Amino acid sequence: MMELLDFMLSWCFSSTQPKGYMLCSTVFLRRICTLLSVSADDAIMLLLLGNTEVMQTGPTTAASGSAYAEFGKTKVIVSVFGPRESKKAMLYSDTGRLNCSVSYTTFATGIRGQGLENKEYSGMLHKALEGAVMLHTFPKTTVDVFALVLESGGSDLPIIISCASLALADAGIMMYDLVTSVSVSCLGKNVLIDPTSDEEAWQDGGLMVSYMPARKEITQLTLTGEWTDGKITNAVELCMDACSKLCEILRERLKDPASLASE
Amino acid sequence: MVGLSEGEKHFIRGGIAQDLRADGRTRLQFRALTVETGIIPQANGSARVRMGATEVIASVKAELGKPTILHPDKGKVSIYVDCSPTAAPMFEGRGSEELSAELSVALQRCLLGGKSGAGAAIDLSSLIVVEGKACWDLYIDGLVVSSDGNLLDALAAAIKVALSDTGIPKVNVSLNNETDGEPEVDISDEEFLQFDTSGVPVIITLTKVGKHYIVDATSEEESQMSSAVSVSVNSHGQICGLTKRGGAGLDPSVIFDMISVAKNVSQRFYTLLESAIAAAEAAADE
Repeated sequence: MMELLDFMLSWCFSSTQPKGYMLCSTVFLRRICTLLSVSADDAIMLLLLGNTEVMQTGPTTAASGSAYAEFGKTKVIVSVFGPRESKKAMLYSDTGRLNCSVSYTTFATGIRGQGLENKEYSGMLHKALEGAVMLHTFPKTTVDVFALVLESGGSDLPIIISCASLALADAGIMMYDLVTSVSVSCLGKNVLIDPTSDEEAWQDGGLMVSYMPARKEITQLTLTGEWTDGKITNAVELCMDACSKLCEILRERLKDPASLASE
Repeated sequence: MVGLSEGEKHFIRGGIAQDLRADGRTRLQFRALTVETGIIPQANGSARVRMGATEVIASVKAELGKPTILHPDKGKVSIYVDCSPTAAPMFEGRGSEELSAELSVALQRCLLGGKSGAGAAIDLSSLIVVEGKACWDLYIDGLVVSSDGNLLDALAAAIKVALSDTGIPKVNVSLNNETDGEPEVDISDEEFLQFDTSGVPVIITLTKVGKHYIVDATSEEESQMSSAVSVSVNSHGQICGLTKRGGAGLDPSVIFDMISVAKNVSQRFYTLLESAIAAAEAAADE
């Protein structure tokens, strides 16, 4: 069943398909999910979290810490610099500063330069991380987190957040816990975890959770579209569960950075 | 930034813990709300909302545009918020950029719904004039005139009132072949169509100070918050958007509790807003 689903999903969203097929493939996707009904969430979660993810630390050498993440088509690289002297002339502060910046390459999206539209991501990355970083451990200084999206294939922001927390850990910045983030898309009655950009383009609603699994705290939560109470609870719990699993993967990578690329 | 002494901070936190805030309100009580409509004659619809010392203006302008190729049967809505330097000196120049962007994104998330259009405040297909050729582009602009906390809720209320005040000019379309199939659009300046604004949600921000959460926080109270959750609720009681602010993490059960509290409070806010609109209409008739 899983192989069949895998094949159908990859057929649905293969990049060779002309644009006109997009709508009918969405209808097709809904059908697949209806076929699988209740188990759709779990199946797709396994499919997307188990198979296609690559995470590794240390792709850039100049930075204090860095990480690379690849989830399906989405490829993100994050470098962390610091703690270092604040560049801008700023007032004295007895806590450190966290400076986050997210940028897209011009070739990250189907239409050139479209990634520039996601201006709010820098602020959202900051909000997701600031609760986890122990800012009081580096007074008067700044930690810079620079994220670059090499290729945008959906669920960009959650992948940036997870990758940034891996890079922060690699840089040896003190944190209360690793922050992992997962988003879900709501299509009809079904909830899809880790949506691709095509799924995001046709979603009825979306929800993103950033979570600190060991502390059991949500650092960031955003929701769009129309949701009922029960559905929100289910989707948030699904995300938190996936965040915990993702966190285990991050911990493995930090413990044994050498063995990663092969997986 | 609000400069507060230790004593003042203690007073605010202590008051919230005892359900009696500095201005005499309880935790889930709003400030006095006043509404005015039709304040900008140039716009198709406009409103001014005051909540205590917070004052915002929303204007809606409609322009004829072309629908996108991906959605030929839908109009377009864009929301943008600007913070005036009159509200606070720090908004001067580029100082307001971050806050403006945050408010704009939060409003877009709450009002525009999912990408497929589900849960949107405005039915985009009602904005279409000729499918694939012409549609109405709605430009919703918010302006923060005076800032004393709870900007997001005030802006959402102002947009809701401004949309109900909006009249879209009636258009007569004549298709002829001489102009390459381009429709000729004749805009009437006498007849206007009203919007169905029943689906436009309100936003309720619950600000967590200590162990408790409060609605309609002033900027002094906001400076003491650990985190805030903004929930947008439509008149059917459905959640159509949610944003979290503030650095501190929240326990999932607290978030679910906040959502249900926001849902209850939103019904009271709807009645409050409706009575404010009725008062505004009565004042305009006199």
